[in-house]
Amino acid sequence: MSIIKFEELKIGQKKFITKKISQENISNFTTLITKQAPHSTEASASFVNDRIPQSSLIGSILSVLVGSELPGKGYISINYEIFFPESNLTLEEGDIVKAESEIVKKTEDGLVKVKLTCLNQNNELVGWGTSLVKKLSF
Amino acid sequence: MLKENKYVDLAVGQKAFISREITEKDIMDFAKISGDMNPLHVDKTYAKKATFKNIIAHGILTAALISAVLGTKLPGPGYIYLQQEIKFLKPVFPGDTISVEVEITKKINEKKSLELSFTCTNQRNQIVLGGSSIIKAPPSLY
Repeated sequence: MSIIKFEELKIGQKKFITKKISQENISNFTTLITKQAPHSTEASASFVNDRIPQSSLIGSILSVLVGSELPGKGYISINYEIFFPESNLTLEEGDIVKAESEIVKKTEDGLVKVKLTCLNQNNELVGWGTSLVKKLSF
Repeated sequence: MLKENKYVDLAVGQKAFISREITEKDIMDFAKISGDMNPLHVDKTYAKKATFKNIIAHGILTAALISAVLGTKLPGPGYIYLQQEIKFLKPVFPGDTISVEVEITKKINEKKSLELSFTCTNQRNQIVLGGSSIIKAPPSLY
């Protein structure tokens, strides 16, 4: 887990993580989503690959990236804007996702904007967007 | 089986809700499945010294409650997520009960897409999370 001082964060600075998607990753998020909604625990088999639970999986990968790598520990997300492809592309078991964060904006009051991209092993975008994070005070 | 909704049967103003307590166990379980072990979520000693004086739920965990409504109720299974904007407005602490409301705000018929807005409110009536989504229907649900 990286700790980068606010003063040391630079526009254009990038960091990426890669994650191999297991069937367990996909089903954990499907279960997480379905168990929240009473009376819908019997998710249909097709739901496993639905893009809505998968959006939480992609959101989590991005949240690990932002919260642990760049900008990392000591910052908190204020918002996320995430886009998903128009095509029916989903994450499959064995996919290798490369998620990258790049600092695009920094303000004096401790706010940092990062650009986020998530590519699969075929270089197809599976998710992209931005997040605004704020330096925590101690 | 989850109930599927046809695009033609969905209307602007239609709403769906769920309400759920976020426990410390939920936060720890989420840390495990997501791999997000940021001490802000899992380390009480660290969290006590930081801005919120307590561990807080991962933002994406609270957002998962919205996905639960979107994915299982409104619009329901089969729809394709295109865009999601989430604003984290207040921290969510262990033991908070979060009520989620999702509403269809627009139908874009030429694209068979829906715009939905959502809010998550805690037991103190504070909005902790707000945002919007764009979701399109698959051809099988036109």
